Parts: sequence; C-alpha cells; structure tokens
Amino acid sequence: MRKIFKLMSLEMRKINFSRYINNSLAACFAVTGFLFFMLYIDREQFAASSTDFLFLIDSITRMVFIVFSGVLISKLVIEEYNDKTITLMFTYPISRKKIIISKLLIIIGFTFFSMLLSRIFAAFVLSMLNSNLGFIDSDITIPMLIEHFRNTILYDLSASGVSLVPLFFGMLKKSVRTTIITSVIIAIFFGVSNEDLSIGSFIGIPVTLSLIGIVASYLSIKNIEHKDIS
Amino acid sequence: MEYILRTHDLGKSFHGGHVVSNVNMNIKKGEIYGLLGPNGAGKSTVMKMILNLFKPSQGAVEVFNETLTNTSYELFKRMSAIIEYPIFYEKLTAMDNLDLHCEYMGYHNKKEIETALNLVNLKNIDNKPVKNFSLGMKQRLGIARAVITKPELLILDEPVNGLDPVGIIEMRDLLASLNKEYGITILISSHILAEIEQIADTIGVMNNGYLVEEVSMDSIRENNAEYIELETDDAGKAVYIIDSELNIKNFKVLDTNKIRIYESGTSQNQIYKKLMEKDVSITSINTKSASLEDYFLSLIGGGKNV
Repeated sequence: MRKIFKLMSLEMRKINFSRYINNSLAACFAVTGFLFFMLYIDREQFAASSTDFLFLIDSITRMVFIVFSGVLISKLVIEEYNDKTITLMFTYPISRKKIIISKLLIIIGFTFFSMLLSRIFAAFVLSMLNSNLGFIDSDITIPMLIEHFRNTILYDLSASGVSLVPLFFGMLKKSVRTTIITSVIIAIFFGVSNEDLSIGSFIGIPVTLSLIGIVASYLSIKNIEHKDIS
Repeated sequence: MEYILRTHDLGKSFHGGHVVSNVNMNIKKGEIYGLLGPNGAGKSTVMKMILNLFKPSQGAVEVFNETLTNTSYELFKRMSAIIEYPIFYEKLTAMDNLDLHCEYMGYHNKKEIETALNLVNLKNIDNKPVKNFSLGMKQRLGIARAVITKPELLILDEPVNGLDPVGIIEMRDLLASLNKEYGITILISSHILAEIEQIADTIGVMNNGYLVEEVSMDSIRENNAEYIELETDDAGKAVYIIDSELNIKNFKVLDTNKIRIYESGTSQNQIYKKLMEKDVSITSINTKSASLEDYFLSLIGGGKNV
C-alpha cells in the first residue's frame, strides 16, 4: 500500500499535478459563476425550486468533472503510450499493474474530491447569494444542504467510477481524441439521467455505474503483463 | 564460463511474419557484446524481448540465470537500457528525469546523479526541459541515466546515433571504461561495424531475424589477418617465384594478374625485391588491413548496410 502511494506521488510529479488542481479550482469557480447568472437572470420567468437548484449544481459539476477525468486519463495513461514513455516505465522493477492502478487511483480520487468539493462550494456560495438576492423560490437552509450532501456523496463516487469508462475506449487505439469524446458522451448521459439520481436514494444505480467503470478499467489492464509494448 | 544472458531459440512473429527466429545468444559476464546487422535485421526486437517489452513467440530469455517471465520485475533492478532512442519526460528537466529514474529503480544514492552527468560530459543543462535538448545531448543524458545505478547489464540500442564524431569517440571510451572499472556487461547494437569492432569482445551478427554468427573478436582478427596484394603482368611466373623461391604457400590468385598473400611474417619488401630480381614487372603492391567488413558482408549475404 505504501508503494502505491509512492507511485501515485511520482505520477503526480511527472505531470505537474498542481496545474490540474488549479484548473479544477478554476472550473469550480466557473461553474458557480455560470449557475449564478443562469438562476439570477431567469429569476422573473422561472424561479427555481430548491430541488431544481440542487439538481442543477449536481449535474453540471459532475458533467464538468467527468470530462476533466477524461483529460486526466489522456495525460496519465494514453499519452504515456503515445510518447513511448510507457516503455521506460515498463522496464522498471515495478509491476505493470501497480503502475496503472496508481494512475487510476489518482484519476478516481481527484475526480471524486473535485466533484464533491465543487458541489459543496457552489451550493454554499449560491445559497448565500440567494439569501441576499432571492432568486430561488424556497428557502435553503444549511441543515438542508448538509442532509443533501450526505445523501448524494455516493453518487460522486459512482460518477468517478463511471468516469473511468473512457479509459477502455481510449486504450483500444491509444487515442486522446477517443478518450475525450467518450468522456463527453458519458458526461451528457450522466447529466441527463441525473434527474432520477439526485432525488432518489436507490442504491442500485450508483453501484451499477461504478461497476461499469471498474469492469471497463479491469478490461483495459487485465492483459497488461502479457502485452507487447512497442 | 559464466553467462549473464542467454537466449534459447528466441523467436518473435507479428501477424504471422517472423521478425526474429531461433536466436541463441550467449553473453558472458563482463564482456562487451556487439550485435551487428543491417537495419531491420531484428536487433531491436531481440533487445525488447530481453527487456520484456515484447513477449517471445517462441523460446526464452535467460538473464542472471533466471528465465524471464511476465512478472520477473526484480531482475530489472540489475539492468538498464536504451532502446531505439532515449525516451524522457520531455517537459521535465534533466535532473527531474534522472531523479525520477532513481526513485523508480529504488536507488537512493542521489549523489550518483552528478557523477553520471560528469561521466557523459553533459554540461550547461541547468533548468532546461529535455525537449530543448539536441539528439546528441539526449543520447548522453540517456547513457547517464542508464549508468547511475551501476547496473550489471547495460543494453544499448544504436547509442551513437546523433552524436558528433568527437561524441562517438567519447562514448566508445566511456563504454570501455564502464566495462573495465565497474565490470558492467554491455550489449550494444549497431548497423555500423566500425562503431563496435574496437570495443566489442564478442560479436553477434544478425540478418533477416537470424543470428547468423556469434564469434569472438580475437578469433576474427586471427582469421582475417593482413594480406599483401600485388598486381603483375605475369601472374604465372610470379606465382612460381612466390611458391618455390620464397616458399610462401598461403596465397590466392584472384584474377589473371592479382595475387593475395595471406601468410604471416612476409614482408612486402622481400617479395618486391625477389620479383624485381627475377624480372617480373609489378604494377602495384600494397599491404591491406584485414577487411572485417568483407567478412561481415559475406555473412549477411552481400547486404549493403553493414
């Protein structure tokens, strides 16, 4: 386990990870700003309910960070193949599986925390603005938000799991483009289907989605020790 | 004899086409083994199989007396390699690249980084990302990276590509001294004979995926000694004199007026004087150094790239 953490830290060093943290902060602010203008400008025609409000925050942040994880998959996995640096990595005395797993853990962990923290940030900032400007129909209280996040944290985990699906398609042809396109498609699908998820507490859907992600990443690395690396 | 690396009927095919077939290579501990062959002979493929990057379609690689399997990761602590061209994380600096290498190799004596950089004579690298390096600098950096950990086996695929003539000589000296001082066994490939004939102890010649010859440089030198080539108008008479008067038996008549004398200990002068004495006119006479090139060309069937 210590070895995996060590590998993760080396991976992060290789891609200059602080850049990705800054970018995800920027994305988080951008999402919050976008949602504010959307809700504020439309307040006359369409005053959002608190359910709409939370649904919007959840689906948009998740969509953004699913695409973000596609970028990370490209950088951490696909580009190592394209730049042939993977031939360097695979001549080190380290199991190929461990190398790839350390990369995937970074992607899942980063996506999960970005989603969760961005949602929390957006919800608290917007509800604060709402208490002054009043663009949401009903009152939003702090206990209500805490309750909401406690109920939906599992969906962040499932979204992070499903965000690994592009790895499977990207690895087929080692293509950055395929990876990003797949993650955009998944993001849209996830955003659309989110309506049921954010209100329901049905455990089956998030578990299924993360299973898909896990199976997809398993399929993309299961033969890694037998494969020719050119 | 202790071998550090052997291959047993090693073969590799891609989509049914054989790229490497039945290669039986034997690399002794402590030697420099030169793998020679034209482009596309299968040298890099063999090296990739040794490094586990390619999986053999047939046969096996035995390194440090262990058969290489898909999960023989521990063996890789003891070797380093550069295949085709040195690969780096181009956006990182040279120091970062070397530091990461040590981390991944599990090697913690970071002082050796400085030593290795001095060894390859790489200066003024400061904080430039590697992508700004010339190919020659990358080659040097690649060698530096490969030798930091003082591996037991060093595998270099065409390491002098991109080096200037001075760099090539420096590299040759460096490899020789790594071999002598640290006892590092080196497997080096090239398509240029001159590059390795001076440092190699053993040479393996590959052509069309086969290892057509594996021979020690000593025995090559012995078998390909110098010869004297003379041209004369009267080959018949010259042969008679060489044979009976000079008592030289080891010679060959090439065409109607060209004779090659292989016998050791004969001087050009002596032959010249004798023939002049007997009134045989000589158009030219000179000593030619052993043409290793001819030898290798004959092995690979008249290929043009050696």
